[in-house]
Amino acid sequence: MLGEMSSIAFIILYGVSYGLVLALIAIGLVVTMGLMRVTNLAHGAFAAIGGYLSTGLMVKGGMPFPLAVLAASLVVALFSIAVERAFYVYLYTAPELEQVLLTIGLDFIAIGALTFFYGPNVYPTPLPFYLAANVDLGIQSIQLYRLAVVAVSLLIIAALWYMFDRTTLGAQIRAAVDNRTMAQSTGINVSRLFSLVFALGSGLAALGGALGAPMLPLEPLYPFKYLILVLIVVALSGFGNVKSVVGVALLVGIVETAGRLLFPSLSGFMIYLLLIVLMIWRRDGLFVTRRAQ
Amino acid sequence: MTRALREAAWTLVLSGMLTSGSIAQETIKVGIIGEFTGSFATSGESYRQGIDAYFAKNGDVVAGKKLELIYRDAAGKPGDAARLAEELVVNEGVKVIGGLTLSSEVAAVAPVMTDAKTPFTSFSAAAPGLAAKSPYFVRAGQDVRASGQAAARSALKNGKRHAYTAVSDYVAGQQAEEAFTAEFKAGGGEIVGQDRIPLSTVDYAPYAERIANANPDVVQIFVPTGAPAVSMLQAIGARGLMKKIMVIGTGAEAEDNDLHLFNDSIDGYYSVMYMTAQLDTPLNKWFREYLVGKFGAEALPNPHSVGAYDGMTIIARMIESQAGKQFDADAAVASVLGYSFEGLRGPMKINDDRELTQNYYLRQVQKVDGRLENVLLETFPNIKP
Amino acid sequence: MKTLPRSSILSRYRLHLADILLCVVPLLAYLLFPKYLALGSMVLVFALFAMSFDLLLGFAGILSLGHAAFFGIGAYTAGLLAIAGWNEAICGVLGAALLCAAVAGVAAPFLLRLTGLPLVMVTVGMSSILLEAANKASWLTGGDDGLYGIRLRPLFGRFAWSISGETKFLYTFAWLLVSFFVIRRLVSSPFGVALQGIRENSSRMKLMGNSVLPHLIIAFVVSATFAGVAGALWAQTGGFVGLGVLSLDTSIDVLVMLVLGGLGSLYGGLIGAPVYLIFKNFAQELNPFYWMFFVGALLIVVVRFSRGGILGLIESSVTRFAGRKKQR
Repeated sequence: MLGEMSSIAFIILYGVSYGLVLALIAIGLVVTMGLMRVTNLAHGAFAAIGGYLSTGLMVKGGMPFPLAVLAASLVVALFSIAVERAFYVYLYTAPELEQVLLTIGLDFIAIGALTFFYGPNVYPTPLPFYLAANVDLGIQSIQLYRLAVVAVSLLIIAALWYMFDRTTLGAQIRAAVDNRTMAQSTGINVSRLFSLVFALGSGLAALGGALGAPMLPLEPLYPFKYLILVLIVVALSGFGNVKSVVGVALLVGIVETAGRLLFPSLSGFMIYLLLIVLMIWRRDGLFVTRRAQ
Repeated sequence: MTRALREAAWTLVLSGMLTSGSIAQETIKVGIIGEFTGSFATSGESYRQGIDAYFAKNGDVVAGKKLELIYRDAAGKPGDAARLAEELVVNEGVKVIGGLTLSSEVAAVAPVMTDAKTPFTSFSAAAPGLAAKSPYFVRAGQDVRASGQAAARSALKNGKRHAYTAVSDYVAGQQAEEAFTAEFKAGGGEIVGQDRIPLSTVDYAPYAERIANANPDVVQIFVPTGAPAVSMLQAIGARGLMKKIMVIGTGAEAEDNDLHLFNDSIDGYYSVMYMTAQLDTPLNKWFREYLVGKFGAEALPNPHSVGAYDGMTIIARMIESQAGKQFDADAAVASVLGYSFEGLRGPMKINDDRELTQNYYLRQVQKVDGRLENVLLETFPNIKP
Repeated sequence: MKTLPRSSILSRYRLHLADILLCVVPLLAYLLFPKYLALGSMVLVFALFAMSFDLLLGFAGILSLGHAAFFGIGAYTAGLLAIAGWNEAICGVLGAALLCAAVAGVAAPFLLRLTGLPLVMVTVGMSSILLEAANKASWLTGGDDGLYGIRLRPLFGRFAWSISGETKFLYTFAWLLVSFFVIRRLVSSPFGVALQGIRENSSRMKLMGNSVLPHLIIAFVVSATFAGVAGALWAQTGGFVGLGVLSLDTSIDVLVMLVLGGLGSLYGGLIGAPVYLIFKNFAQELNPFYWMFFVGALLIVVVRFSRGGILGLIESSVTRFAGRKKQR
């Protein structure tokens, strides 16, 4: 009985921390895809760059972990505006295939650049001593770092929730997602909104990458490696639907963790099976209501 | 005017041809197929280091001929390795090929080499039974079965009787696990858990959890070098297992040149490998100093650079045996059968089946003068696969 | 997406300059570069693979990131047939093609009800599962070590498979030509016209009374069949099959090759594959790290400035040149 409780506790604690990092990375992509209708396969690259920058600041610049994460996210957010103006504006009216191709091209460039600056190997992220210790919760012992990830992610997500639900900006974003032309005709500056949202999304991805780096190690192929997982979360959430992202990401994190804990040899299949079943059964997303086109 | 120019040009050309003829020495071409890009790029870098050291120590002339190395990048793709091998033989006229990090590359290249009657030797490939794939193959790398066996022996010697095996789910991992399991059970031990971890795994914490739940006193690990090794070992360390039980690796997860990728939780990690950076021989000491001096403090000996160095020794021996005659592949291979020599890694002998009898070493990561290092604990001499 | 003039693909019996080039250029390469025939065979195999993908993406408008699944099934089938003793080359390819057609026929009715991102995701999911399964079934596929020892009986009992690669090259070339003319015949038929109509606007096609799904299914199955042929040729000319044939990398590679060359004309893949592979072969020797950088930049340039890929570039410069001529 204790063994089962311990396993359940493990699945919850680890699955949730893993899922929340995925959620941070995925939220940005969900909003981008919902708002700008751009299939942005280069989203993972922003997460990777965020992670690399943050680790670099810690290792070479001696910055403390929380500060490095914040700084890296801000830098990536600003940088992404430049990228958006240069490449993505063209994609807003382009067919889906071209979006896929151009963003894959951006991924390749990012991977080449990361290999050039940081080498082809794993770029290890050292944990500050106050996070590396284990905390004994009775039925389960867990690294303090994981608890910190859960806490910080929930805070950020709560802040986003608030922004989307209660602020004017949030309302504008939701309006533009639901019906872009209508939103424009009410005077919302959609193109400025796009840049802002893109920066927000990329900054969040960078935050996820930086915060999650001790858990999801950094290497040049990071953009492709986690692309699939993030896309799975996005596809299952439905586009533009921020609230369901968290739920879906937690589901993915828990299924992955549970799969590996309980059925280690089959775990490679489980997430893809889940994806296929859910895509065929509920292709609009898991928790989504119908939207006006 | 033009006539004078033309004459001058011809004189230049002719004298150039004559002088180059007199300076030119006979060369013999050797192909090196390695991973210089892609996920295994660090092994390619290590090859270059090992080969560089070999030339520094032995010069590049063997039996009166100058060795000319031609490098090709297989980038981790066995199909490309086969095509590159073909090109090296057909286009470049290489007489011997060395390198080949992955066992799948050896398998892909074998039929090509047999058809082309060209000897080849793997510097790192680790699967058992590779030599049987072609009569022209000589192994210079690891045999993963021997590592598994030696690991089991160490565990038994240390009084461990309940083992858990956690290996990556591919052929090399499976073979390491099978070898360990057979030896451990034969010695009276019991296997309390067996995991084959998908290669696509990113978060290894659940596997560390499974190990902890099963309560073994020894865990055998086999995970590819790089991100998987770092994640797996850090997950095990985070769970507090490294100090509690004997965690023993059989797949070069934490070689000295990679230790800077890990945090202190790896202190206490055991591993079995056919080489050790700490080997107390003059040759190894020189090798260490040379690498660190030329390539930096992180360039410590690892299985790839050592494999490359010793592999070059074997290749040189093959070429030497053909001194003064046309290079005959069959005779070259025959000449190294039974060849015993003091390699960089210790005493080596090439068996009649072209596999390698060599020492295996048990090492442990310890903090020495504030630095993490693989300290040599025990030697298992002359293991014949 | 740029549509090419209907007349160019619909005239079944006219031989275009491009067709003649297709027949002549590889033969020239064979004569001029006898030392690079192994690379040449690989290029031909991927040209065929890219062409099959063009049928799927360029003509039917189905974006799949899992096309490598059929390449892989073809490769492993041909390899296993040869190892099991049925080592007649042509039969090996036919067997592989049949199996791919069967698998595609079963999967397509379910798969093709999806569009857009869900479709892409499911194709990725399915090919990932296949890859994982192939890895686990190492008793069948050799797992990570791969399938080796693929030896074939001399072609037609006379032409041996030498290491210099002449037989392999010509054999692959023959298959490429045959496949090209078959697919061309298909797309310049009423079926092909309907397919392009569906790609442009499937709701309108439905209203006009055309059944969308069966057309898509047929396109998918044919595309998968020829991908299987390409895979079988890969196994037969390389003598080795590794897990890489099923990977996402391979699916992305073929997508990039096709886009580079230009979608929707069948010739695009035939141009894109050589350009991509030859460039890759030499770029990796020069500057391994920068390879990804160059490919990314190339991709962006193609998408941004030349929607039709290299073929589009050629077409627009030809029309500009012809236009200028007219002005004179």
